[in-house]
This record gives sequence, C-alpha cells and structure tokens, in this order.
Amino acid sequence: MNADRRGFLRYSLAVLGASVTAAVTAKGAADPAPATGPTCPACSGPALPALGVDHQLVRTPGAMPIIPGNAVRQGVPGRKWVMVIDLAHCDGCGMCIKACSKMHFVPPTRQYIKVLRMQDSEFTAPYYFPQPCYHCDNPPCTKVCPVDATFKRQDGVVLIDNERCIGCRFCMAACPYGARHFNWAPPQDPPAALAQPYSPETGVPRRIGTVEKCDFCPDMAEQGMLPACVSACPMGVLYYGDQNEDAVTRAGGDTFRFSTMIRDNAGYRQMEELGTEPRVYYLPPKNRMYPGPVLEKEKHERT
Amino acid sequence: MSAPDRPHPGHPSANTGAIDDTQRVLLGTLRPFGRPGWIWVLFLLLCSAVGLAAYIYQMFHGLAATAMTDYFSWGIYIVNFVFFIGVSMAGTLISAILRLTGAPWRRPITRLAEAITLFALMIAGPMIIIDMGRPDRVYFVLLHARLQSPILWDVLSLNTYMAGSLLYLYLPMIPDLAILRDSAQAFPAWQRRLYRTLALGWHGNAQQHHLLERSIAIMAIVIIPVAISIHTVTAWLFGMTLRPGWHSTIIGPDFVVGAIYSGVAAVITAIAVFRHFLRLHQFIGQEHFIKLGRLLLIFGLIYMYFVVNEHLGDIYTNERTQRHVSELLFVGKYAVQFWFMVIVGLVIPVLYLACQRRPSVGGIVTVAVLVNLGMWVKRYIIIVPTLASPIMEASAPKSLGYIPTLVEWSITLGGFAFFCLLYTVFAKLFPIVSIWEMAEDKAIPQQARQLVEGSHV
Amino acid sequence: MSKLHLLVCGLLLIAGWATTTLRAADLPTPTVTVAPGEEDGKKQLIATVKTAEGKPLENIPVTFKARRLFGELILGADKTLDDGTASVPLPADLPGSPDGKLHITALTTATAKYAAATGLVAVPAAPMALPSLDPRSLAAPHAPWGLIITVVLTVGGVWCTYAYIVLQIFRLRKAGA
Repeated sequence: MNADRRGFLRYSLAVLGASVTAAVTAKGAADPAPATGPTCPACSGPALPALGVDHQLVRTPGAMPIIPGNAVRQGVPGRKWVMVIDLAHCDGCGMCIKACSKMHFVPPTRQYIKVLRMQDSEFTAPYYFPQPCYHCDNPPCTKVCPVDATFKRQDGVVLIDNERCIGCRFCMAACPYGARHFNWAPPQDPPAALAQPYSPETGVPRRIGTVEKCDFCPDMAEQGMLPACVSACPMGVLYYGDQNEDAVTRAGGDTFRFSTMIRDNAGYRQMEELGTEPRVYYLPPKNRMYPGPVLEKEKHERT
Repeated sequence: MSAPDRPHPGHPSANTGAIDDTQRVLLGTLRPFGRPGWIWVLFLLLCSAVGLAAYIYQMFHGLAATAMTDYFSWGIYIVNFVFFIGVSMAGTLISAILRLTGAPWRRPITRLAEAITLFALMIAGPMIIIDMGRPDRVYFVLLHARLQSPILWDVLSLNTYMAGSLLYLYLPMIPDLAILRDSAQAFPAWQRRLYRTLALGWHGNAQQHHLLERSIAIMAIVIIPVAISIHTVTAWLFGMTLRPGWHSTIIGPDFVVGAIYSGVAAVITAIAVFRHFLRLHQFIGQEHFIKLGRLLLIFGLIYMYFVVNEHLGDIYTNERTQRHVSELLFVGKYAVQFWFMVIVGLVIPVLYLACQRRPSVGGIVTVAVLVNLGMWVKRYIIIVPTLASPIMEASAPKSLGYIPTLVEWSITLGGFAFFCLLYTVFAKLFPIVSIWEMAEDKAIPQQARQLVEGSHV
Repeated sequence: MSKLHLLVCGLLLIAGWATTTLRAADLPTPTVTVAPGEEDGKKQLIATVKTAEGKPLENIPVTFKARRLFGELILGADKTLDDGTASVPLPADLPGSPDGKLHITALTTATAKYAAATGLVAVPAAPMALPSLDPRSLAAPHAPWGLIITVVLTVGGVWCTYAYIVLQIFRLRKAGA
C-alpha cells in the first residue's frame, strides 16, 4: 500500500488507542472511589500545606485539635504506630524531606527525616536510606532526660515537650542515630507556625534552647491521614500504619499486612544490635527499581 | 591523741616558743593585701567579669554564640565541668586518706586540699548551668526529677559531695577560728564577728576535743566513697550512652583515677603557690613535694595503664563503630591533642618523677602544671572526638569540626579566674595552713619529752 | 491529513467517550451480599452477586478488602461461580478494628452488562493489643522501685551521717558554754 494510506492507518490506530485509554480512565473514575481518611470536623485553625503524591500542593483540612496537658503524654489509645521503608524503591529524590519541612515549618538548616547515601562496605550495594526518628521501643533518649521532657507514649511515639525541656542535650548525646536537633539560636518561625498554640504533637511555635525531631505526625495519624513524608513519596517507599491492625499504607492508599510484608521481604531494623528496638523497619534494597547513589570508590560511606 | 586537761594551742598557758612562732607566722598571712595582692585580686576580678560578660552575651544570643552544633552538641563547657569535678575529687580524698592513715606530713596541706575541692565544685555546678539551653528552667531538675537520668545522679552526688566537703573543711577549722577569735591581731569588726560565730564557743576542753575528733574521723570515712562516687557518676553521663569511646565499662574507674591524678597535681600547684607568696617555707618543705610527687607518680603509672586498656582493645579488634574515634585520636584531626596529653601530661611527668632520686620542688611543680594541662586536654579528647564520630557515619556533616568561640574561651577563663579568686579570698580570711594542727605536730615531741621526764608544762 | 481522516478520528473519539458514559448510566447494578463462611474447615469470605431480581450472576470479578485506618487491605479476588458466589480465605489472625470488628467490603468490577457494586459486612474479630508500656521502667516517666530504693538508701545514708555530724557540732557548741 502507498505511503499515504499507511500514514493514515498509523494515525487512526493512535487515535483509537487514545480514545480507548480515555474510556478506561473515565470508567475508572466512574467506579466508587476507594475511601480515603475521614474528614476532621473538629479541626480548626489555618490549613497546613502538604505535598501530595503528584507533587502538587494540597491543603490538609486544617490544623489538628490540640490535646490538652497530660493527655498528650498518653497517646492515642489502642494504636501502635509503625513505619516501613522500602529501600528497593527509593531513588533519593527527597520529596519526603520537602513535605515534612513544609508541614512542620522546619528551618532549612535541619531535616527531621534525612535521606542518606549509604554503602555498608566496599563491595556491598550503595543505596538511599531515608531515616526519620525511629521512635524506639527502648529509647535511649527518654532514659536520660532529667525532667521528663521527652517521653514515650503508649501509641509508640516519642515526643518532646518544649515547655519542659531544659536544653541539657543529653538526649542528643544518647541518640545513636542522630535524630535530634537543637534550637541554638532564637527560632525564626513563620506567622502560620506562631499562630498555633504550642503542643508537643506539632512542636511549633519553637522555643529557643530546646530539642526537636521527627514526631511521626501523631495528630494526623489519629485522624487517619498519613504523615507528610509518607503521602509525599512519589515512589511509594514509605509505609505507615497501626501495628495493632497489622497493616501499613503508602501514598496512594495501597495497604499491606505489616507482619507478612516484613516476613516475606526480609525486613530488618537499623543497627538491631544496639538494642534500641526501633519502630521503623526497612526492606532491603533488592531488585532495585532505581539505581543507587554513586559513591566515590575511595571514600565510600559506611553505615 | 589529746591528753586530759591539755590547754588548746593558742591559750597563753600552752606556751612554747615554737607554737607562738607558728601562730605568728600563720596569722601574719591574714594581714590585709599589699599592692601585689590587690593587683592579683583585681586581675582575677577582671577575668571573671570578662567571663560574666560573655555569659550575658550568650543569654541573649542563645547557645548559637558557641561553636556547638547538632553534632558537637557538647563542648568545652562540659570539658570544664568534668575537669573541675576531677580536680575537686582529689582534694578532699587526699586529705581524708592521709588523715585516716595518720600520715603526719599531711598537716600543712589538708586545708589547702579541702579548699580546692570546695571551690572546684562551686565552679563545676555553674558551668553545667551555663551549658544549659534553658537556664531559666533549672529548677525543673528538682520539680520534675527523673531518677533514671544520670544527670539526676550527678546532681545528687555533687550536692552530697559539696555538703560533705563543706563539713569536712569546716570541722578542722573550728580550733583555728577560736585562735583567730582570741588573737590580738587587728581584724575588722565584721571579720572578728565572723570568727566568733564560726568558732562555736571553742575552748579546747576535753569534751569538745573528743566531739571534734570523732566528727572529723567519721567525715573522713564517709567522704571517701562520696568522693569516688562523684566522678564515677560524672563518668556515667558518658558511659550510659551508646557512643563509641563513651560506652565502655572502664569509663568509671578511668575517670576516678584520672581525677586523682589531676587532683594531686592541682594540690601540688596550689601548695607551691601559697608557699611562695605567703612564705610558708617553714611548714611546707621539699619533703611534702617529694611525697606528693610520689603519689603523682603512682597515679600517673596507673593512669597510663588505663589509657592502654582504653585503646588497645579497640585498635586490636578494629571494631567498626570505634574505628573512627581511634583513628581521630591516634593519627587524625585530634592527634595533636591526644599525643600532647599522653606525652606532656603522662610520659614526661612519670619519667621525671621516676628517674629523679630527689626531684627539686621546681621540677615537681612544673611537672604538676604539665599534668593539669594534659588532663584538661584529656577531658577535651574524651568528649569531642566521640561527637565527631556519629555511629551513622553517613549522617555526619562535612564540616570543619568544633572550634570553640571567644564566648566559650571567655567563660572558661572566667571560671578559672573565679576559682582562683575564691581561693585567694579564702586564704586571706582563714589561715590556709591549720594553726592548731601544726602546733599539735610540734607538741608531739614535747609530749613525748613530758612523758619521759614525767613533768607537766 | 485530509478532512476525511480528521472526521474518522473525531468519530472514534466521540464513540469512545459515549460508550463509557452512556454505559455507566444505563447498566443495571447487581446486589452484592457478603458473609463469613467455611470451606474445608477454613474460614472464608463468601460474596454472592445477584441481579436486582435475584438471579445469580456468573463470572463477575469480586475483590475483597478489609478496612484499615489509612486504607483498604486487599484480602483477595475471585470470579463468581454459576451460583453467583465468590470466596477468598479469611486469615484467622487478621486483627479487627478497634471496635472489635473486621469491616469487609466486597467490590465487583463493572462488566459489559453490569455496573460495579459493593457489599459490606462486619465480621467480629478481636483487635490486636500489643503489650502496653510499663509505667515504671528506665525509659518511662516513673523510676523502677529498685533504683529508687538504692538511691534513697545510699544518698539518704550519707545525709543522715551529715545530720549526725551537724548534731555533734551543736553539742560541741554547747560544751563550750
């Protein structure tokens, strides 16, 4: 057949393909959408910016209700927050860091969740390593606090009360993972952060001379919303859930059984030998989806 | 030791020329400052003021005025704290042990040593508060105390030791305060009132002597475990963490031995200074230096043993978490400080003291100063290289490291200056060498003569 | 491209869009009921798909999900048999929600003839409760008794000695009067 007709056929097939795709997508939209987290009628205050999975700015339904006084130290009853990080999928993009820093108004000089470029030894694979605070079950930090400013809750979260912290920085010396940061200088919080009443669950407004760190976003988790870092991950690396429900969810809503996931994928915890019993599990970087970091041969970074 | 109805030294009836002479010389040290004295005091006040100004600056700018960062979260404030605790440990410990063993050569130096302890503790406490991010909340440590924290153990231990040292310093001063109260020397009215109040109506009768000596003996026994606890507990501030270099079982005894070592050196330095400037040569002779020098040698050798134990295991096994610290110390960024500590602080003093048959006073004092310098540096290399070696190496920033700022050095200077100031003022208010104990010392051969001759004086 | 080509492409696009929306609008929705059951001694979740009139539907794909706090946990998928039932095993150790129930959704996929439909059931299932933290431990707000007793005895013992010494000092003062 001549070139003209061939071209026409090719073009028509393309259009056909496009229309079928459109039909399928439209059908998907017509299906009942899977339920996302419940809305929060009790929430009030200025909406917090958060990054959605498609890197668009989405707004959460407002600041979380502030739980008074000692109730903050008890935690959400019946829950045990846990996180799983799939190292096979992490490409080191750092969206989790951006989302967390936006949510918590974190100054640019520090990161609550870090993405490290790791290589355990000379011939082992290099990989990207997101590292939030592990909220350990045997936390070295809460043991050494002289005034009970940092505490472990029943729902597994380790928080800091900056109305109590005396700034001795013993917890920073005790944490083997370097998860904590100190307000050395007077904090420069933006007005949105200063407008909120202080709560250990949000950590703003900041106080000079006190310690802060990743808090597992307990106020959001209680409302059924994934933490900022988890919902912002475009690769679905971070999973978060309630260990009492034996389920962890990643951005986009995919939910898996926690125990099965860890068992079947050789999940592990970082530096188990330290005995801190972290609440963050890692899935090893096997069958990588994205190439690992390129580290200099001579000065490879070790864990 | 006390015969019944023996009049106390200073009482006109207990006259011997030697006792009068002792009293005259020692009371003479309490005469008002001459010009050199005032220059010294003004210099110390100036340095203390510089430290205070630096702290006020820090209060306004936060701890960002220091060089500390999220990785070097402890700096030379903690170094100073540990150093002063170390110095404080030895003073009272030496005095107590020498008293319990009945070593007669202790008499001129016990009060000097005990005073070091008290004033070093009075600097160590504030040094910790200076390091706090929220000093306005310091009372939270009592209000919301968590007994599981080594900081609480340190607070309890430090206060217990300070109270005990105060008692242990005060008790042997009572007879001297009575001498001062009764003496003919011209004192300002307030000062004489002070002596009268503190002397507690001491008249040297048998019952008072008995009570005093028993109290001193009990305190001497009790203060020893307290002294050992203070530096062990301070060591546990580091030992109860998971960091390489800190998390070792040897750290408690290491600190204790290091403290005794640096404390003996501090005592040597102090007695040399007072001996020279207050002209106490008749009380403190070369023998005292030689004996203290022997103590210094012994503890120097023990400390060398500890240094070897501290590092050999890590180098031999090349364990991953410890590797970086050992590397920093032996060949890396902190090698200068480490080898300075080892050579100047340990090897040279030990060699000098071991090889000299009768080391000179000047030699011993020089060596003691070197030890103190070396032990300050030792505290620095305990703290900073470990902080420079986070367990998650990949998370350490590629920074220059920790270089203390002017604020930190000023406060350090202020701390040392204030320590010297407290000591100077103390030596000007109270005789730094115990009058009654020196008189007792001289009275002993006289008592022996009395017993032999069978006559009373 | 000629006008004829453009016309054909446009018609194809319109057809695709129309089939989608028009299909969704007038396709009947089956009823889905789901209930726990047993098969060969193992617990199952059985979904029954029927038309509105009660006729069982065959070959309809059904997905079973369990409601979790942050999303839906997929338990399995199956196609309906000729009696309209589809089943997946229900894991015996799957913990329930805090209300003591497992909220199951059975979701049918839309086919050429029928729209998608859901059925819900709440199966009683105990929630898991990991052991709560000891309020008295090294990491907890309150100190373990052993620590308290040790500190009180040692520190208290020393301070009692001090008190005794202070008493002696007072006696000393009285003895001089």
